[in-house]
Amino acid sequence: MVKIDVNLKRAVLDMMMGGDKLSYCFQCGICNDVCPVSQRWGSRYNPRDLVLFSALGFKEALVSAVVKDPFILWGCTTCETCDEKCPAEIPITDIISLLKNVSVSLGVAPEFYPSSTRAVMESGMAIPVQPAVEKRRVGLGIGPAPLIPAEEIRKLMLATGVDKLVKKQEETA
Amino acid sequence: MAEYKLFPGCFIQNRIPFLEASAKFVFEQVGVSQSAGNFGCCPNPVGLRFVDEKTWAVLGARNLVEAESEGKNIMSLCNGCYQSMAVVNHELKHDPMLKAEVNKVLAEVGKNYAGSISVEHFVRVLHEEVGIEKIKSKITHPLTGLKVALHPGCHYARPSHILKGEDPFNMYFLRDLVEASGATVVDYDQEDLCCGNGVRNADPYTANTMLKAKIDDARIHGADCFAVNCPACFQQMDAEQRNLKSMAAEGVKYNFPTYYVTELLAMAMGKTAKEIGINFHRNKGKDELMKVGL
Repeated sequence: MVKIDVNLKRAVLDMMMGGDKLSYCFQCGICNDVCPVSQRWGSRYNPRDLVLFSALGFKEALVSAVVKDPFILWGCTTCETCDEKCPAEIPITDIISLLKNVSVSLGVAPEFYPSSTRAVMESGMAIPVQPAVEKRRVGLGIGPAPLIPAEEIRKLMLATGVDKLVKKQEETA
Repeated sequence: MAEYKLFPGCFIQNRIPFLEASAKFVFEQVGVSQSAGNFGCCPNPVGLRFVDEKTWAVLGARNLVEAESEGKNIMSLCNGCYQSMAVVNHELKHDPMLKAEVNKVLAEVGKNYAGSISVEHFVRVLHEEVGIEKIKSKITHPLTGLKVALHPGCHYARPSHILKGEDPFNMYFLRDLVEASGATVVDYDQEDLCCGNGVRNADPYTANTMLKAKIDDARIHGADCFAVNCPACFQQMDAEQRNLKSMAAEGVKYNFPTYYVTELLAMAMGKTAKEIGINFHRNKGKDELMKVGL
């Protein structure tokens, strides 16, 4: 029997119904047709299935599929072509982003994502100031980079609890 | 024109600052005034957003509050930063529950999001606020004969119901700016397609095939180079070409140059390639630039 996660189901249905319209995915598959990743990999990366299974609340089934092959979710290149072409105006990329959040919270994500979060927490930016680049900036006549409010950003990130999320992922890795 | 708070983004600011140098030169020439802000990570719409949407919204809102405190709009040099902050701004304006949640976190550092400023992309500012005629009037060294394939990038215009700049499948601002430099725009089938950067951190192979397809298509259509307006696309299209060796057809070399639109404009306004740091590109396009006397 498939286990249904009501929270995921509600969150996804809420995204479909958000804003000024009522519309559900009717599984036409245009998202797959226009997707540059799907065009390369066929069924290995299938946004239509991601929308369907998440709207049904099949969280456990989705997560175990992602554990087997992270590409089924993380293969999305976030070009948002599917969103633009979807006749039902489903925010497909937002749903995929939500699924990625779930995937990270369960410790199933490519290594880059926790490590870049760590970088923001440490330096206030995904790519920190580097002495060699600072020199180059001066040479180009634009002066050193402005100071980054790293401490304030760290405080905010501790307040949202993202550090705990990342820790979980790091432990799994 | 009112002064903008310039948001170069971490990639331009701390990795490839020559793009910032060319942009600042062009802004000065055409009278766009800008100043630095007390900004942090935008944050990355294909990075931190995937880890935790709420943290992404909080840090995005923090940047918006910094600009709000001076009553100035933000101008981004990067598609990703532009999309992140514009989408966060939109969501906070339309979702009172999210706004309350975000403001509760911001209160920890004494900040509060009001929703009083807008976020703009520099391409729109140049095209719509400065205007093509004014830009043309500053061109002293037109790049006549340079054939350019355009790559505006995904996060410049999508999601279109929020960003509302241009029709994402019929964009012309970048085209007009490149043509203003005196160069010729070359149409190619893959213009609207993703550069592949967004999937690189999960699967570099897929990212490489997407890049290769774009370059092959641009070359078939006779282009000398790409013009871009996003540092993530720039990095993917310039630096990552080194990964295409193993999938190249016999005798084909991947050394196709990519220029920021502000680099093309700066050179057309009299700067030399060296002055604006084209030498820091991996693929400098010496032959292609020589063709137009640079």
